Amino acid sequence: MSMHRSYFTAGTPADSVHWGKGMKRILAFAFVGVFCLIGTFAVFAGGQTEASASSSGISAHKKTHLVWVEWWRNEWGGGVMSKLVKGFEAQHPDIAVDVIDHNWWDTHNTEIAMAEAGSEQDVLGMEGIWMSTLDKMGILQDLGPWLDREGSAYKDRFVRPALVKYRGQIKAIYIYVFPFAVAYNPPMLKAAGLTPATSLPELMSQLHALTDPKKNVFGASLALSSDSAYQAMMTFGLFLAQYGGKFENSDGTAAFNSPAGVSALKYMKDLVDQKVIVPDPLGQSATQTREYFAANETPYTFDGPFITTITKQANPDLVPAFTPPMRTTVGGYMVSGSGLSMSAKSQHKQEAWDFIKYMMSDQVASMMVKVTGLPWGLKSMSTDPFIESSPVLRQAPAMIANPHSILFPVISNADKVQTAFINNIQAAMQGQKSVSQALDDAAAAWNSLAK
Amino acid sequence: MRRRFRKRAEGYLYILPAYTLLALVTGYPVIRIVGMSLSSFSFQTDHTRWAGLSEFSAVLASRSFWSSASITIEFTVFSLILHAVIAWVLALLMYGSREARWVTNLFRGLWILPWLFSTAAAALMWGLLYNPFGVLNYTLVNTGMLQEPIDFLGRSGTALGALVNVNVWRTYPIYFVLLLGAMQSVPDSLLEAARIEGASYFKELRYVVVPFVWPAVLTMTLLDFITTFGHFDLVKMMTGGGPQGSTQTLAFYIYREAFLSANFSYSAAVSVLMFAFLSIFSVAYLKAYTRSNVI
Repeated sequence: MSMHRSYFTAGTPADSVHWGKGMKRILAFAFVGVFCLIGTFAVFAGGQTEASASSSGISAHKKTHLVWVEWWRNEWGGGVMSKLVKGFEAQHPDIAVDVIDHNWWDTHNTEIAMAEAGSEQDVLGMEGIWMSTLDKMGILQDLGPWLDREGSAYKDRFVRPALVKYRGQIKAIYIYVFPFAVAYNPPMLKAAGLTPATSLPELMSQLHALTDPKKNVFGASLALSSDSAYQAMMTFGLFLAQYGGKFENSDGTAAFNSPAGVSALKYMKDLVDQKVIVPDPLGQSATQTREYFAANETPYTFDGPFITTITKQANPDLVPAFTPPMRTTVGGYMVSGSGLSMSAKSQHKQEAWDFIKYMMSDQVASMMVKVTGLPWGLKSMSTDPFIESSPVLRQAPAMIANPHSILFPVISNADKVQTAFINNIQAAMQGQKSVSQALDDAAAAWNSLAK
Repeated sequence: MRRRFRKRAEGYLYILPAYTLLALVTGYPVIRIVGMSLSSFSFQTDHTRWAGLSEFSAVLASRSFWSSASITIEFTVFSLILHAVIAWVLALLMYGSREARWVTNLFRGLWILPWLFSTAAAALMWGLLYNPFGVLNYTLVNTGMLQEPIDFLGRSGTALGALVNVNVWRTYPIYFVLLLGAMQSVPDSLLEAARIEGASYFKELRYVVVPFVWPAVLTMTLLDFITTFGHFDLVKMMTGGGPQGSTQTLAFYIYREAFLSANFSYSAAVSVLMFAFLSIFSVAYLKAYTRSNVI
């Protein structure tokens, strides 16, 4: 009897034996397959529960799990994050915080992917530039009513830019608000016999003095690569504010294609053309500019106060400083922040709000300003003794308060506007468009997209 | 009749787990993507409505799409040509080598070394090499080949070439290993017969080795075309599609639209067009390949 005929033919006793063997083999395969699938699911599901439960002694199933998507672990370090989470969990023993950490570059797309997949996320790390996409997806909760419930005194604690409005509603609270400024390497400047520049023209002449292209030595670097469009907009914004310009009009239309905008972009182009910065900034990312700065390769850089903690990780001996408030045409700075939003689809909104409140408490602010060097978005922080002692932070309150300082715009279709903006800046830098043409084209894109 | 049915059922039962898995991991995503491309989803109301071909017309009217398609073709064609040239040269060198076995083994190991690097490691390494402070610039400037350092990834004119170079460097070993394997599997009897007939080394290659390995070459080229056409990683890690969109491939364009702008239906439509193009190309290629009677 041939084997291939036998498995399902049960006519004879011999056949039934073969049939049984065949079926047994199939069933064995099926069992192994099902077992593997169940095992895989169990490992993944068990892993998640274990990770959450391990943060406290209370058993996992009794707790509410709060999912926090963020990027700060890389910048602040695991110890700081752990201290933050444990502090909150100690105050709320019925809540466990599940942290989903990414680097800054991937946080936005992770939040979008999680929203699209319907995955739970309760508190989201947020940038102004990300808000339009996530709001389009219906993810951002209006925090106005939650703030109102706490009373006006609570609301008054925040510095003005911290409560971030998009389309008339407060969709995020910036946990820290910062000026984007000119940072320098104090030992390198001292070695060159220079004092920090006090205006953009003075900075240009210092960069000339600090640069020697033949020795591959440059005064600064610019991040103008396509994946650093945000950084490029911030840098342009700093120059724009120094020349007295602004990004947008009160009706939301573009205002940067102004004489001040032309001066700002021309300054940027001069940095490239006069070869006082690391060549080909169109290939340089924000990470690279920070690496050059931390490695003592460039004495100046354009960045926010997080330059302190980022530099510290690469070069613990370097304590960077911000130049004292500069004054070119006026003394404005680009001001922005990074913060937290609550998911409109969260099943744990009260817990999420408790977490946001915790992050904005005086106790956390006081701790975080010391360990991260970031100016927390509370008015009380301006009088914190640590701010006065920090070479970066002590300049920040005056920069933020300057009447000519401009807030980073929170606009719709931000990703596309940003792409149009960086493409036009890159075209100007490569000489494919004049500075004014590039700004006009970027403004046209802004006006058609940022409605 | 019943017996024949049972026999057939037995066969189907055996392949059922594999087909179920295939349907789950391949069929479902394809159906979902096609569904997404034909519908519009409102995140505010969680409501999906039929959108017909509107997303496809938007895609076909977009300059970014055509520019990305053209960059993808450029990236693919150059990568494929260079993969083939390098793999053939190295495989022929190894095939005709009369060196000691340890020498050939050493070189074979060295030549497949780039394959062992992950894409992330390759991107990091080449990113450092291309950097104005990197070894490449240092060498070129000090030998007088460049006046001053340049960032190869920071210029519209050089960025795509720099990416092609990394992609070729990282993936030519696959082509090389398969080609060398095919060459070494030519039966000795055929080679001996050719030698007895007085064939020179080049004639042996032309009339015995190449026809023998040709089916493998055509298959490898098709696979290479498909994987290179959908390339994403290096673009994401090294240039972010810039400068000025000069390295934005279709795969990166899909990513941008979906995960940075949340235009899921639009990016699904681009994916479907890409899938359709690759399917049509593959079928046409395989038909031409079959018609040429090579196999």
